[in-house]
Amino acid sequence: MRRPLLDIEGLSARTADGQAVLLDVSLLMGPGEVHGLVGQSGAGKTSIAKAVLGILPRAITLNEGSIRFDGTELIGAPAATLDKLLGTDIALIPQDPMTALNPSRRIGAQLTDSLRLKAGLSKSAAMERARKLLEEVHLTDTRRILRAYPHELSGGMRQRVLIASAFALNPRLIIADEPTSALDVTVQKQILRLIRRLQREHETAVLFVTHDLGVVAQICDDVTVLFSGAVVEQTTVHHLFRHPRHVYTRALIASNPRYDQPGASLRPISDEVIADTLQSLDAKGAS
Amino acid sequence: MVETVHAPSQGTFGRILREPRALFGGLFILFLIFCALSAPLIAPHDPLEQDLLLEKIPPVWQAGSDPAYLLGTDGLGRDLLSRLIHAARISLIVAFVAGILACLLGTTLGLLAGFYGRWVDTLISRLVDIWMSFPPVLLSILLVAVLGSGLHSVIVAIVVIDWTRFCRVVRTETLAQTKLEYVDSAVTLGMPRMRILFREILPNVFPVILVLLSLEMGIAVIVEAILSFVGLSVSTDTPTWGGMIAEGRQVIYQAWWVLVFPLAALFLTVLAFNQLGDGLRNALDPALRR
Amino acid sequence: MWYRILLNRLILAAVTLLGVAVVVFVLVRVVPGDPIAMMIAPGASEADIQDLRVRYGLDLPIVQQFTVWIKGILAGDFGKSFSLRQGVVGLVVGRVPATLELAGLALAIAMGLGVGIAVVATLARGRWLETLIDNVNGLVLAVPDFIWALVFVLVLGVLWPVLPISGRVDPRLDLDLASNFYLAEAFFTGQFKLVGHLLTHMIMPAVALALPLAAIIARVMKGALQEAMLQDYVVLARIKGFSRLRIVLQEAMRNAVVPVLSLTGVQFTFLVGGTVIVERIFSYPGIGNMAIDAVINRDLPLIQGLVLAFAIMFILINLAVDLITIVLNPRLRHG
Repeated sequence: MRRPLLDIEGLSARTADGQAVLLDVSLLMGPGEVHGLVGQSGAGKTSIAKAVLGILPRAITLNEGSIRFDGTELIGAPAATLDKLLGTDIALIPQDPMTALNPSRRIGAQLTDSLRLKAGLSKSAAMERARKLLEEVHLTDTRRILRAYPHELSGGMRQRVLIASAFALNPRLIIADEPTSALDVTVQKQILRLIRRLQREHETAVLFVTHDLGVVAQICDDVTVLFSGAVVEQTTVHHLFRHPRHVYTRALIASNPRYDQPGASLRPISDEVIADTLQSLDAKGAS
Repeated sequence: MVETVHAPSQGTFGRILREPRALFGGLFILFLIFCALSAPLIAPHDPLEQDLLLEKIPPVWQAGSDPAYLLGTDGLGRDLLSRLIHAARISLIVAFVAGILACLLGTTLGLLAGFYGRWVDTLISRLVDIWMSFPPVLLSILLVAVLGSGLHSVIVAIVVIDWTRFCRVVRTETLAQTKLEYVDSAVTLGMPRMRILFREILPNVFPVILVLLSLEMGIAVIVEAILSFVGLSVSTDTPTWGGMIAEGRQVIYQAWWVLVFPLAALFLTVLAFNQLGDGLRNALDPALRR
Repeated sequence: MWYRILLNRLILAAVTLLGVAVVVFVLVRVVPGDPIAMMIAPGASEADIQDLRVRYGLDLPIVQQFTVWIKGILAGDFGKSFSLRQGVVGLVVGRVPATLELAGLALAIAMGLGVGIAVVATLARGRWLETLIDNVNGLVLAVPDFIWALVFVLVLGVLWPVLPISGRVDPRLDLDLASNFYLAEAFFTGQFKLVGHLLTHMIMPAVALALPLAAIIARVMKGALQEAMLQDYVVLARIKGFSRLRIVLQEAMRNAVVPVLSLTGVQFTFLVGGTVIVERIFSYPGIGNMAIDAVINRDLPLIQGLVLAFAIMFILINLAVDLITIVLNPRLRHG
């Protein structure tokens, strides 16, 4: 592997009352790669994403490990370093497009913020660039959209706006936090394809957080399977579905029989598998 | 969220004592009540006794003071400390009488509206809405203009204006209580409605009423002070903090202390009622903690 | 959509005003029997009283009295002040600008202070500064404008005499103004020295009036800002790497303004109510000060005029707040 773009090493975090949130999580991503972060809710996948972005809630503290972006340590980095990296080199596609846009500002103003502030474009140049970005995410009638308020757009349109915003400054890493889970199934597929296409065109690495193996199969190169804050399996997507090594991964795959169809309903994982997994994690922790 | 766990032996009273603001407010008000009740005994001088030879003596720590007049004298040579102590009487009378009357009126209507619902509720709630759309200052100007000055007008004005504060909150609380299971079971047991209202519901609404009452007393003290400041409360023969402040305002360039002491007394009293109310809110209702 | 809301409010305003008129009429006439009894000088003869009764139409039945009275009001005839022996309308209109300017200045101060404090407290979240601000705020909330006004008189007027403690202007000053809106006119005609002079007189009463409102605005605004700071779009803006101050002002502020504004409307009416006593303390020649004299003199025609003037001000304030809320809320504007 070339010099890693994102290098998470031995990351551990716990809540104020001592509960482990992350346990010795390591993860490597090269430039332009799409890495899936899979697990059920509460497995710690969102915490990893938030740790990279520096927005972990106060109640959770990182007690060990490091997060390096292109060689720069992010944990404990001065605010100025983070402000410079965030938005320009690292961007986020959020989970819920209904709440991620400011209801009282026009789309144009929200989309041009970064362009003007971070890229130093003039107001008109930023607007023109924003219009092109909207075209890139397959939105038509872009002038009207730039003048619109969020409540005038549908969920799918808003998610496209947010994707355009994430790609605006050509970041090297995008964190996609379940970007399709709030959308209906037909829109989900389009959005996934869109992210995949833009990612290839811009050669952007994407850390894709999801609970849906179907999504992983469709979009990711590598995958990390998380359970209860710990990594249970880390491999290529290809390998994962052919030879799932871990009992929990197998159960996860089995719970989603049609992984070629993102969004298909999940079957619950049996308690025995969960108990087995916990046991194996304990054994790993003890060794 | 983990709530603070109280030992079972520690009752409501203990919790109030633990709340520093409630403690400060409560103790200060007890002290005031003591002053007001024993005013003739503890006041060093007759509050009305004028002596023009002794006018505008500064408080004892200032040059030119007289140890017989701890806080000095006013423009007519009356002892400030004695007047201050006697004036506490009017403030407390208004605070308690007006506060409790407004509380009784508002609470009764609020209980009825919340418990009986339907047209009783509609009627009372509309009345409160209309009442509250009328700015209090206008109502008090009109009331005092019509009733004339005097202690009774002050009290009537406060009750007429402020009963809505109690009514609104008590109605909401009662409504919430009425939906709880214990009321249902009391109904199934065949208890009379009035008994349920006063024996079952009222005790649960009581903490809120107490908080409101404490805050209302602070408001009443201020309203009385304002009206006596402009000369619309009791006659000027009776010492009041508001009246003393007005006198102090007149001689402010010659004798600042005439204004300072009644102003400080008023300030502390208002603060005490307020802190008591806030403290009670915290001590009595963990759900209200923010 | 929005024009229907506005129409609703206008109708409500008219109803409220009529309600106030009725209450004034009823209170003054019905409660203690006879308004003439309050008007007459001691020692007036029975014939004088009867004369007055006829003059004020008090010998007519009550419903007829009301129609006569309301017609007079609609025609702008509020009668003559009993104590000042001038037309009520002229007296009130001459004094209203002073009160409006004082209340307006106080509102501006309250909003500036309140919003500024809320922003600082939001930026200082979780640090000692936030605790300090909360505590001071709680104290300010507990103390009414009456006490603040007197504290200012004492401290800034007497103990450290930097500001005048009474009046609106120095009476020795030769004013070259056409209207009674001294501050506004001086400002727009470029007499900045006079503006400064007026402000030295107005600043203490204005701040005294503003403090309680500022504390309320600060508390509510801080709550709204901190809630807005947790919204996804604010988190996203943080991830875009914008500074905290920029995020508070640009992302959170607008959405926090609407709840604060509707509250400010109600609270501003209390502030205007507070002008009555604060004007008295500073001998400021507005309608509040005049109202107290009118009550002391039991000058019923003047009281009626003043109460209606206050009521109109309150109604206009609420209308203005409704309008601004509509302008600031894109959903209402477009919906």
